[in-house]
Amino acid sequence: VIRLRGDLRAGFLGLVAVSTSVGAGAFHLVLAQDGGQALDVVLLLLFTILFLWICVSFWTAALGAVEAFRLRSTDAAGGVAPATADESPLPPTAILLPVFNESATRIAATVRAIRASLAATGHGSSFAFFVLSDTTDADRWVEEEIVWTEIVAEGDGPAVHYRRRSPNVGRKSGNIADWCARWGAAHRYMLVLDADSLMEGATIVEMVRRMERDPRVAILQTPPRLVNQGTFFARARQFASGVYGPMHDAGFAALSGGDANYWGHNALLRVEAYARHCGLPPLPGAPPLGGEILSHDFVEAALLRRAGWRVELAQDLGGSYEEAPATLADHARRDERWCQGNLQHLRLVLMRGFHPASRVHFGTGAMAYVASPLWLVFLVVGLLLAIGAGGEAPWGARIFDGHALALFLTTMAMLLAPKAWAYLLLLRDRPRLAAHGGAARAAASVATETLVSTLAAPSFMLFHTQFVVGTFLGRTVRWTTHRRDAAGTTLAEAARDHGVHTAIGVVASVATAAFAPGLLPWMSPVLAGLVFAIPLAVLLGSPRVGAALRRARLLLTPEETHAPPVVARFHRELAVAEARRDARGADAPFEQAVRDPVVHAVHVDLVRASPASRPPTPARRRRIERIALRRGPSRLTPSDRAALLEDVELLARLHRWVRPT
Amino acid sequence: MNTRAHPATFFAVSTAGRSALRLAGATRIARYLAALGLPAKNATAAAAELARRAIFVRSYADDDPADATAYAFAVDEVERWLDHLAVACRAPHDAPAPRGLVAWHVRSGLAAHPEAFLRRSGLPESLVAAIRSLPSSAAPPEAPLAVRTACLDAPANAVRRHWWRRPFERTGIR
Repeated sequence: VIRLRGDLRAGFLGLVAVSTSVGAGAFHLVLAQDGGQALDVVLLLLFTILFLWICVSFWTAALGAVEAFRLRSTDAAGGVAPATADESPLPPTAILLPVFNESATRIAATVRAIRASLAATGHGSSFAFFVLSDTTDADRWVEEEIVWTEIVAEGDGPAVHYRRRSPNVGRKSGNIADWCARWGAAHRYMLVLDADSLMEGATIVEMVRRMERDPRVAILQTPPRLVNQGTFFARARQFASGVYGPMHDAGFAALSGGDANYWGHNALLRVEAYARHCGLPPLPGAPPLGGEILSHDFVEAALLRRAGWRVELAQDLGGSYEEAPATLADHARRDERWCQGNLQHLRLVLMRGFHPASRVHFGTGAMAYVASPLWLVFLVVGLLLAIGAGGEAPWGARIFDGHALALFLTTMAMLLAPKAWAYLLLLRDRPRLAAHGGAARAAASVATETLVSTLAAPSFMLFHTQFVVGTFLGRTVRWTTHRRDAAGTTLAEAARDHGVHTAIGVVASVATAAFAPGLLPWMSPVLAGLVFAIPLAVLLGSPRVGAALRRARLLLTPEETHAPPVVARFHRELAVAEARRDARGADAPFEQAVRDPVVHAVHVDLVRASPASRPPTPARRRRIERIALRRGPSRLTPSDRAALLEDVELLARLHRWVRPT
Repeated sequence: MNTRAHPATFFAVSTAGRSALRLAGATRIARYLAALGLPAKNATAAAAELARRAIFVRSYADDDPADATAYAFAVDEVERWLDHLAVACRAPHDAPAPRGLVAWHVRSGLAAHPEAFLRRSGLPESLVAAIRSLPSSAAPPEAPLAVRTACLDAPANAVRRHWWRRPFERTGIR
């Protein structure tokens, strides 16, 4: 198997190298038509790097397509985990849900849905949930405590524990390390989830069984499918995840074998191996490239691989879901944090002991963002060359001639062919095809998704360029919560987020039309995406447009056609949790912790059971007390509210003495 | 910390005025008890009783303003009762149930059995059973596992000058 894998990788690298060389050679010939210029070298270098990136993606998809054809099934998105006849008891497994200022009702719905799904497998007693809160917002903190109490009061199913810590050192990875340090010895495995993760109980049980069968595996990652969002943009991404995702995952899994990667959630980890090897030190130097490691997942996978453990992608396992950002801007905000984290990895590429595959993961993770500024520079240099040639740039003016035409068509084919293969694979799978709306609508959906991703790409190019440049200039990102239930993008929001993109697009369009009109056909997709970035953001961020497309059965996914049990249960539980929240009265949860006898008692219990936190200074305590007694707790600042919640003695005092509202 | 002593500035109030304030305090207490799950009618009656009793409890009667002290007395009475339930409703060797979870069950229990309020015996069986089944803590007993910090500051051999020099050193070439 190892030799076959090695042959496969060698073949893959050979194909990438040959195709990149051919592409670079063809581009050199195009440039050479008009004699050499100094900037040609820069352009050729940039083209080679970008074309290499396209080749890697193309050949991974090609391998995935071959794998999928060979296996005669691509369905990793149907929500059905392979059943095993083994009914032996499972080892103790913790399900970790690290949360940071998330909606407590969503957390409750997630826990209840997965808990019910696990209970239905008959193995519920082997699992225990841990809601690991790093929440700092006072209202959300108390709401978490309330929903935890509701869940515990329900009784049935796997145990659900709640722990909040302060200060939240190390963010998510620190949160998990803190759990290991306190409860790790009692569990063989931990399933790490994100706040928007959902997993079928049968899938979780199957993951544990696979880890039990192969004691060399330290991380078993599932490929989560995107679900639950309704905007045009998110639905396009969900469709892409459902149709192209399985093929890409099959290619990646075939190439990586036991050297796969960890994506930070929807994965099962061996607790002892994790504790032994994955305590993350801060990187030398100051943030953003030094300090706390932001994208911990890649590093943890690399550390385990370095220690000899296997990291595998269970690409054949369904029943694993997550949510996509709803709008372009939300996606960009998430990318900003990932970008900084992935660029930090560049410092680890040449560190001692890492497996070459881990170094490749670090490199490709960074390249996902660095490609954008390279693309931008490539476009700008191309434009400058064209302007310098009096608007008669050979590769622009003669785009429909010889080498240039061949290169253009080849590049487009390499970008679009994986989508066509995925569609062909879909045609072979009748049930899945029906779930995507049938052959005609699936084809229309592929075309729609292609148009969306093409027009959105220039905005992301500028966003990513901004993030990469900002990171190298020393700008750090804040730890914020994702907006998971966006109501859409207003024109004002779009103008704020994409105004600069539009301005750049207009200037570039005018310059191109005036000085290098021959380039316009070549540049038009990019320029259109930028010039119309604002209306495009409104359109793509619209839940109404998303719903209309769904009614037209476009961009349909199997999860929308027939909601998997855990997703359907999540929606039911969310509705119940929101109704309960609304029934709790008008007082904000923080106010309830001060005044309501039950919520106050719950909060005091949970703070006393949590690790010791930093009490406020005596002077701050006196100030909080004075403001709360004279003007009411609602007049406290967000930071003082959190400080008050941590100080149960002061809180108990105010519970008795604070004036009625 | 003493949670009973009122921390705010006090005003001189006559004995008659103090009684009036205690009645005003009863309204607040009634709202508090309703939040605990007591039906409105029972909450009003229980609040009046608690406000009256507060007058005779020295540590509260000495404090002002009187409505606030009556309220604080009621809160203490309720919390003492919850703590009693947390112990009394458990099996002999079980740790007490968390007060918050007890209060959560009391809220639904009092709606059906308001007569059980502040009662220390003869509690409804459903409430006792619910408290008995509660976990003793939000988190299970700790089972610590040492988390070792990985080394991430050693550069790979290929980027160390020494590694490149080694073949030449072996052959004696400098």
